[in-house]
Amino acid sequence: MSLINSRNSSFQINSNTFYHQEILAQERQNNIIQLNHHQTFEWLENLASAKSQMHAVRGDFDELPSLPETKVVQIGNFKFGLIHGHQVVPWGDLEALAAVQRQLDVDILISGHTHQNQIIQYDGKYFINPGSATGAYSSMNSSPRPSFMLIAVQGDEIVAFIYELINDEINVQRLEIAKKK
Amino acid sequence: MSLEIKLDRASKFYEPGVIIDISKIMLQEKVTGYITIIDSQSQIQHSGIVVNAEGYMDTVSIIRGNIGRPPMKDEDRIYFMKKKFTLSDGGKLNTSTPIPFEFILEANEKGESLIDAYVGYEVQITLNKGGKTLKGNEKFYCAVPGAGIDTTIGRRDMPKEFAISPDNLEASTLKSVPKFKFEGQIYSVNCAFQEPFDGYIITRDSEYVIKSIEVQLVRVETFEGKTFATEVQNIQVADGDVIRDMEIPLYMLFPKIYSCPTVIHAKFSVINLIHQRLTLD
Amino acid sequence: MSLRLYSSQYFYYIISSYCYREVSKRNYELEQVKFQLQGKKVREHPLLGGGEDAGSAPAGAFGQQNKNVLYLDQNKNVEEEDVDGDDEDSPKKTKKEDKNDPYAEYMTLDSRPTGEFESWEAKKVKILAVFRPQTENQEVMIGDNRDRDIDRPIRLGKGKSRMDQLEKRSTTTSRSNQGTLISARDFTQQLEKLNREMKRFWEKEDKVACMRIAIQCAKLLNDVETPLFYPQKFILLTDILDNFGSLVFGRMKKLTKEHSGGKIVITDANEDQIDYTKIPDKVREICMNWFLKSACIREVLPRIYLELALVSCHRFIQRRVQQGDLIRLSKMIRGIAEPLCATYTCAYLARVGHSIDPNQKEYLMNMVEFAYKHYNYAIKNGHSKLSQEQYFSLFEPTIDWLFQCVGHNANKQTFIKVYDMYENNPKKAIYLKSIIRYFPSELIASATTTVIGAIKDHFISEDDRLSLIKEMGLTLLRSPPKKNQSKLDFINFGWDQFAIKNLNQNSVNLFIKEIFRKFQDFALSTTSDDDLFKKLEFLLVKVMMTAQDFSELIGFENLLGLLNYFPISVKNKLCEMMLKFFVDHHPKLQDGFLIHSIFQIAKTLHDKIDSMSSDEEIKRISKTLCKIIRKIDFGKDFDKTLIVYTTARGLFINLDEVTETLITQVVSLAAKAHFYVKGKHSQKTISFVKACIAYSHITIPTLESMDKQVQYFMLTAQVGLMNGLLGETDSLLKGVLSTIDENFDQKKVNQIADTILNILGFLVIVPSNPETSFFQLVEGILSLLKNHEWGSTQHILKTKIHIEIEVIVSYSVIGNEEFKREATQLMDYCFDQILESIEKLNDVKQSYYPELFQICILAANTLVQNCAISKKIDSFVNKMFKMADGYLTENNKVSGEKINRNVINLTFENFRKKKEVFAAQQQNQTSGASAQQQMQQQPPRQSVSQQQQQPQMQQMNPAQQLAQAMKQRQMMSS
Repeated sequence: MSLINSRNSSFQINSNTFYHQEILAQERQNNIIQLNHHQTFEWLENLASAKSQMHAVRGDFDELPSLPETKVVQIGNFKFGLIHGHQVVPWGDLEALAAVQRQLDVDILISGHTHQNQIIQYDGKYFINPGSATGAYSSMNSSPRPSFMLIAVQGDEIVAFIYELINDEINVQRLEIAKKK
Repeated sequence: MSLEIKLDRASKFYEPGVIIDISKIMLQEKVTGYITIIDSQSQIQHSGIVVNAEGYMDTVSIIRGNIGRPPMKDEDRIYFMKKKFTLSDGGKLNTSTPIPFEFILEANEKGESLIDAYVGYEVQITLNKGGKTLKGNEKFYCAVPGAGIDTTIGRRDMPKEFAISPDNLEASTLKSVPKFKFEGQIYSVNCAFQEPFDGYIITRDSEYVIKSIEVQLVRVETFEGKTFATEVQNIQVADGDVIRDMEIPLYMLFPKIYSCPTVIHAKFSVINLIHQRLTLD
Repeated sequence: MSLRLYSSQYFYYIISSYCYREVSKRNYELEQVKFQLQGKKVREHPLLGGGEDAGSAPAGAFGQQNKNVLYLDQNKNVEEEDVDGDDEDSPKKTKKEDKNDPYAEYMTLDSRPTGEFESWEAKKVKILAVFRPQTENQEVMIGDNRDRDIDRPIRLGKGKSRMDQLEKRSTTTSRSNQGTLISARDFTQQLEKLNREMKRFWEKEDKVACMRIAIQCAKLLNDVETPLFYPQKFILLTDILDNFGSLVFGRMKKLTKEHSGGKIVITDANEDQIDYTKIPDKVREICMNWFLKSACIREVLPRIYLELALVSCHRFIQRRVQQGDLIRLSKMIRGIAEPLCATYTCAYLARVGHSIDPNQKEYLMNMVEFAYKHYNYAIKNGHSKLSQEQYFSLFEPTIDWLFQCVGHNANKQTFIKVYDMYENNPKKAIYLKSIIRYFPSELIASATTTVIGAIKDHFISEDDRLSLIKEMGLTLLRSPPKKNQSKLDFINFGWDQFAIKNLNQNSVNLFIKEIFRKFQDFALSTTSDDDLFKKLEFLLVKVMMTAQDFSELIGFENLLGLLNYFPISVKNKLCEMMLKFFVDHHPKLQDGFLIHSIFQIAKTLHDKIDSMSSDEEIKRISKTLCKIIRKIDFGKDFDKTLIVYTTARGLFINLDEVTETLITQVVSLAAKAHFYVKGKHSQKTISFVKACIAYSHITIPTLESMDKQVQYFMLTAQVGLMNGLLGETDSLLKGVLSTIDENFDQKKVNQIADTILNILGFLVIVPSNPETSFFQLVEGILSLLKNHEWGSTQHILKTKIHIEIEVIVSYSVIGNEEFKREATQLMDYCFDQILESIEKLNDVKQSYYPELFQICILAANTLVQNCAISKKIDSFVNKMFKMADGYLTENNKVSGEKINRNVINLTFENFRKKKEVFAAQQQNQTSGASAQQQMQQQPPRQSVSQQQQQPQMQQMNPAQQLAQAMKQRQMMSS
């Protein structure tokens, strides 16, 4: 499973290419979770061509209002909730996200919008933000690091790989998460 | 109910054996084949199968037949080989099993040897069944290596140049002969039968429009002082008013049947002629 | 002056709200540390390497991933199927695009000979393309078969009677066809029928009938009654013959397998490796019979064709076709007097011969010589029914093919011989052209001077010369002449690509100038010549395609001037082509002059768009223009870039997509600027950023769609805020609201709600400008909600917004009394509104239980999360919980979809904890008067004293301070 959150691909072609080279050449990841933001259909098609199952939710300024606002996906023993995050006031606020998590009743909530990747454990649940795949600026930061995540689910365990582009070099972090009984 | 003969060799061409002088060993050529009885019953009773293999000079009779004369009588034929033997004395046989037969191809008539000819070799098999006879026959060919070689020439090539012009026309029936001149060459007038006949012709000049240039192979048979000429093959080498001063090949394969190497026999002969036929308009 | 003050007040607000929250709520920074999980840096990860690693150690966790996917509930993934469906569609879409690609016709332009041997199949298509239209609706005369006397092959056995029958049949058909007229189409159909019939006979094992058909076909080639149809007929008939040959060959293969007892199996793959000495006698015999049969065909032409058709079967009689055979056949063709028949037979022989051994040249030389004679003959005599030109054109395919075979990999000797032959015969352009085209380019190049001389001396006609020169140019492209050869010679000859590829830019310019000059004369003298325009159009495209440095080329004044002479549609197409080419090949645009030229061309395209233009066209052009704009890159010279963008805006005002791109680019520029100065703007940089924002602000209203306007207002506002431009941000946000206000549309209410929520997220950071009204924007939103009609279902959205407004307000419940009062008022108003909305929904509550439940929970959640839990809030939250519980119970009574009570429980638990913490804090605060509390009580306008308490911030300018504050803020909220 890969997590992507990105702003319009026209912003930062280079890092986009970074993503494409890395991901689309591989067909192994099977679920793409997309938190949309400024997306066009082409971009989705592009991703869809990776022949994986794809889940996408609506972002701000999406050209696809038909996408759902939130989505719940069961993968393995985990229930994932997806939300873009612009609707959460304040943006990226952990408690506000926790409210969403409770609402969706999920183990892991994946959100975006802030373009800052992180994995947070809070109250027995996990909050994942894959960051921006294109590394586009947000209102907070003029140059966040482009990043995305790959997540493998196996039983009650999750292995997350965080891919970041730092000074044109790919930095990968590995993180293990276990489901709290 | 019928009887069919099938020879093992697809080409039906057989070469008689050669005697190797020193050891006097003869390499025999066997004609082999089998017969099949075609019948509704799976088993039949018979009282004998007889094979009759013959080699004889027959051409002329066919020619005679073709041109309306009565066929040559059996006794007039010149036989080189006559073989008759019993394949089976009688009994039961399975119609599903072919019955093989074989005989040696050799001249067994006195003073004769096998000749390379286009017709006249035949195997005939008869089956007797309660007064009725079933007959089948099959022709085959005999190719005699070295047949027709003139001992004085051997296998040497004998090129021959030719020129055709009004001057060398043998019998001109035309009042005014048009001007024309053809030249050419036959690469050899001593040809191996299995190899192509080859040569060329050049149109040097022709007042009239050329319609066609053909090579005609003619077989001339002589028997009892009479001569019969037959066209065996006619090959067109040029169609229309061809370009001058260019060699046009005279190329022809000898047909395997209805033609044969030259035969010189005490009582008859077969020789071949090549005609150049020019049709002008 | 006022400006500075204004900023600092903003700054104060943020700081104060920050302090407030620190006291009353939670420590975000601490939370951050507490909750953030840190990964370990790893070298091995799933995207490393190929599939082999997939199962191994680091990806171990991924090993069973597929299983997990299977686990996915299929029902849940209906949408995914949709995505898949689109995926399948996408190739089709691309195809469609290709079809509409205006450049498609140019892309086929390169089909000129590349020095590769062009297959007969390819040639065939071209020949048909030339000749088919000429006979399309004409009648074809089927002449007397010229079968003057019937073949007299001598036969034996069973074949006899059948063959005789066939013979009769074929004679009758040929008789009945005597001199009949038949339409070309019918004739073609008949031949196709014949082909099918042959296959049918073949399947029925009636080989003799097949042979008859093959012979009949070959005989038809004797017929030249309708010469214009001949090339077509030749192709059709030789196809049948080829077919026949392969049928026989296939049969031989099959027989080999049968008679060898399955030991020898010949397939297409091992065809050449088989030991043909092991072919069974029977097969050999059968094969031989085919040859003998074809060898005794009386007429020369069908005999040659049949021998050639069966050529592939030669191997079955253990005999390869030798050069001798080819030479003999090449001579046998001399026996055919009819020029067309003869030359086409040559072509067939060359084709068969080439397939046997492409390096045999002797027989080809024979035929070339022969073809010359025939051609000369034809030149001399002409044709009674055809114009000379038409008649000669019939020969061209054969000459072309023959020379291709001769020329293919030919050595120098062959070249000299063939060239001598050319010299010694009447000069026809087709010969020289074929020589130039097909002989190895090195050979031609080495004889450049001779050939050029020949072109000059032998041909008077302009057409001939030009086509030859073109050919020469193409050849030399493949093999450029040596350096010391005079290049100017070529220019004088008006060379196209050669010049462009091999000469320097100056010469190309010169060359274009030359064309231009000639063209000008022409344009003045004649009104129009489509053909010439077409040629010139292609020439220009080639110039573009082959040019090494496009940027220089496009800068040529001549080139641009030349464009103006084209018809407007062509001009547009060329412009588009040029831009597309540019876009595809150039990574960066950083030369002002070049940009000017490009813009000039782009402007042409832009101007051509009008109400008549198709959406597709607009999209395509927009895309190209956008790409160009994105390529503009002056590195760190941002000012210059902005100026160019300003120019571009003026030029491409009509295309929204381009305008959007410009806004995006400009805004990015501001973001970049922020990045480069690391958040510390100087006077100069801040004014640049302001210019960017202003640019965006002015430009956005020109966009047609409201969504887009909102989107770009928001985007710009974000960047404005990033750069500390609070006033600008404020007015941009106002822009959003007024845009929504003006364009309020019931149908888009979902999106509007989304946008408003997004703005609210924004306002957490920057509530509003206190000089006007503290909650001006919030009030703006409220009035939006009030003034417009929201449908009943949309009350939910409306309520949501109200709830979120409370968040904003709650964040700001500090500062002076006036502010507080306003905040409290707003809070109260929101409470009222929420209750009112819920009430409204109550009328139809049966169908809205889950929604009502959600709203209540959301309201409770929001308040618990963000507000100091005062009494009022406490009671409101409790009320909400009660209501939620009520809706839940009622819903679970009637609906199949039960609401999980857990949500309430968890939220309530959260609320309880908060209350405890809050109570404890309250106590702390009242017991010791902390500095923080003092600060909290200071009115916002007394900011000076606060700044004194934070001396490290004092030295910064307001923007820097803001940036830092925001950084902190961002850390908290992310």
